[in-house]
Amino acid sequence: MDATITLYLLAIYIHILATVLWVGYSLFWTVLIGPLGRTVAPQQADHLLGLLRRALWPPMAIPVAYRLTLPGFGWVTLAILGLTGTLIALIGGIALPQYRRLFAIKLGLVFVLVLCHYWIAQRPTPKRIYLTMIVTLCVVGTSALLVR
Amino acid sequence: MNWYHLCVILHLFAVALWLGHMFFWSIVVGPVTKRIEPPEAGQALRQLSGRWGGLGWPALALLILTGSVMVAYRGMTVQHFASGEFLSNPFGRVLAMKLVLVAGMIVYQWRVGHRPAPRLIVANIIAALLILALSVLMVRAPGVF
Repeated sequence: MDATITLYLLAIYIHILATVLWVGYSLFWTVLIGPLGRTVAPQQADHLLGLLRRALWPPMAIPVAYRLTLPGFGWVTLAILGLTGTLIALIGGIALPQYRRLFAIKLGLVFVLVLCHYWIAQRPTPKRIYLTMIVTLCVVGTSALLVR
Repeated sequence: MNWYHLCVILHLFAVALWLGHMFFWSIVVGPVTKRIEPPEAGQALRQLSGRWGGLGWPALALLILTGSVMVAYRGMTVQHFASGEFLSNPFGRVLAMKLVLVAGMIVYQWRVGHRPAPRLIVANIIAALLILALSVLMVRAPGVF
């Protein structure tokens, strides 16, 4: 395999790993926000969400200045997805017209996803979180069709 | 869109949700919530986010079902597997490696599940990472398969 193909496969691999982590991130908020609203008083729920949004990852091993908040983790994952996605499109190409249309739909959904994440980073509310999860699944579904 | 496309979409959904849950909870949620002060708040957040822990078996079932359809679509039959003929080409050999790792993850799911097992969960995550890498090779390595 030549260097371009190796780079292409590596970009796909990192793209899939970042996708998996992003889905995990969206799923985490989706799973948490329901019971938080039902079982905890609103003021206490806001306090817990505040603690969570300020918590740093990883909690050890690297200097505090380089650690990420949870929304920061989401931004880094989205940035990796954008970079590797661009690389995959540049090397692999979007040759067929029907793929171009699908690709445009995917880009539109990704734009909505970035907006959703901006809203979650500002203030995670159930509507914003559920919308993010739905858009995430739509992006994964569109990507599955693009692969074939 | 046909059955094959539907299987690819469902396969990716199952992978993303199951591994996303496994990776994000093991690598991010666990370590982060254990360091939140006061510890009771971290414990509360861990418990509240601990639902949906039973994703493993349904995801595995869906992955095996959709994976079987996808392999059949590529012309592989039960006879190919029974006779070992599928090992005669690179695609089949990579598939065999993937299936061995999947079997390992099924054993993990069956024997360990959600019980604390710090070393085994690392092995399970490594197996999942290798499965993803092999899947990329199977689907996207041009000219190799």
